[in-house]
Amino acid sequence: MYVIEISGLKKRFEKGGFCLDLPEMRVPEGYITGFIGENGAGKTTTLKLMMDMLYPDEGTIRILGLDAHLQGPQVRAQIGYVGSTPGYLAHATLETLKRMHAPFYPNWDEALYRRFCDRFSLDGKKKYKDLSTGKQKQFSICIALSHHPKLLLMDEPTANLDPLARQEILDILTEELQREGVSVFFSTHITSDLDKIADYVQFLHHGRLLIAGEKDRICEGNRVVKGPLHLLTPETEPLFVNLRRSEFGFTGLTGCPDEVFSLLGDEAVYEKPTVEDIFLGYTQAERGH
Amino acid sequence: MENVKNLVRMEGYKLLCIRKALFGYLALMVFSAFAIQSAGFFFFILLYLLTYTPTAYDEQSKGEYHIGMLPVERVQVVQAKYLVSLAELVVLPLLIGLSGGLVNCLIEIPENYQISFGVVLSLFFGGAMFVGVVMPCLLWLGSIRARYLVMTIYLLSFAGMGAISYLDNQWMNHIAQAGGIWLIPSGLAVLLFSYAVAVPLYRRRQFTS
Repeated sequence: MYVIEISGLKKRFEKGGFCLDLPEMRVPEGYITGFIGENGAGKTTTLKLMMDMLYPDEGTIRILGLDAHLQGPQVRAQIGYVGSTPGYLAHATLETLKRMHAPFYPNWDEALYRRFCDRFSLDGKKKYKDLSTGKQKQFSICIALSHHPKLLLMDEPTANLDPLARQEILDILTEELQREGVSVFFSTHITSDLDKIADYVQFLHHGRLLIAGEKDRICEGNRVVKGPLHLLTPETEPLFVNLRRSEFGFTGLTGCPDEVFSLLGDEAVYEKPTVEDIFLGYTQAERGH
Repeated sequence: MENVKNLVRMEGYKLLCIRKALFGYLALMVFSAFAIQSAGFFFFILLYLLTYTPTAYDEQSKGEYHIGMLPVERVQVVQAKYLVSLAELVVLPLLIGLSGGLVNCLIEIPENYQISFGVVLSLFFGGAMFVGVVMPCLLWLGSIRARYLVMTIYLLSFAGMGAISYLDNQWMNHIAQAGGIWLIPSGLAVLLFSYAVAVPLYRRRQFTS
């Protein structure tokens, strides 16, 4: 079962020459899916298309079985959205912002909202502009989760946060998933967050999906190989997604570790890649490095 | 209807956030009602602030993201904006009329206008014209891209009023006498037409920033 299904999606921006092209993208229900891409890859554009803030030139987006454009209000009633720019009035107090937001959701849970505020030590009398970046993000999450959404969409939720604040947010995501079965889809370029909590990952590069799938399976299916330069031969080089050479040796990412091991043996070192290794390896390969 | 009510309430909260700036002009408008030119002057300043500033303030905070995440239809957002504008167009002229009527009862200033129901009608109609032109521009272009256009319309309204006042300093009364009670449905018709233009424009708008 998929909570987000994208089919034949295209969105062009003539001015910048950017084109988002997603023939197919699926986000499984009940899991945390990370959406990673470099700056300008199209992450925010994809999320805005899901929220019907932008309209696709072609294709469809279905969220929770509903069309994101034709049935936008019904879709958004079941989504908690935490944008990179949430759009709250800077001079309004948190209590005022809550009073502005809550009436739109029949499932609004005031007790849950208060619990989150207590957990994050958010004072309702404080103005939004007077909060730190981390507290602003925490408030956005409070609002997003307090109406029991089925899907949590987040655009770079941990960007510009200190490690403590980041970990708190990641903990909340994991807890919510376990407690309420909320599906989480969040975009980020901080790969370590995906290593910590993501079940699935989708790699976006220049508007196209490079890799998508279960995070552990992707990491298991690739290896970072390090060894002396003489191991690189016309037979072994094509087996690598990307290679970096130095005077000390080479480092490369391979998608066929068994084949590489059969050729290089114990002369090379094999490491399980992180999400960052996979992302860098495949994006650099796309760029021709 | 519930969503529209909540959106209207949201607009009210936004106005509360800029109440300090508005209150001063509101007080000036009410207290200057004994001199109709002054009251009309402050009326249009206030109307401009009430129409443009919440949108600009909203856009400064990237408010389209907030509206965009809510489970509301775009037409409901437009309905709320026009309902708030209509309320402003009713309340402000009434305040001028009541204030002017009270002042006239207390202090008789023969050379000034007698604030009449006709002046209230004129201001309502003039305000409806202003909102009718400005609101679709704001909804389609946003406050930043529409700022020069809105400012131009605002200045033209002022210049127009000034020029007419120079030619006929009782023009509001004369317009009211000519149009009479028909100024109300005319003003409402202008707003309705403006709303009909604004809805498809706002529906087509994409938030790319």
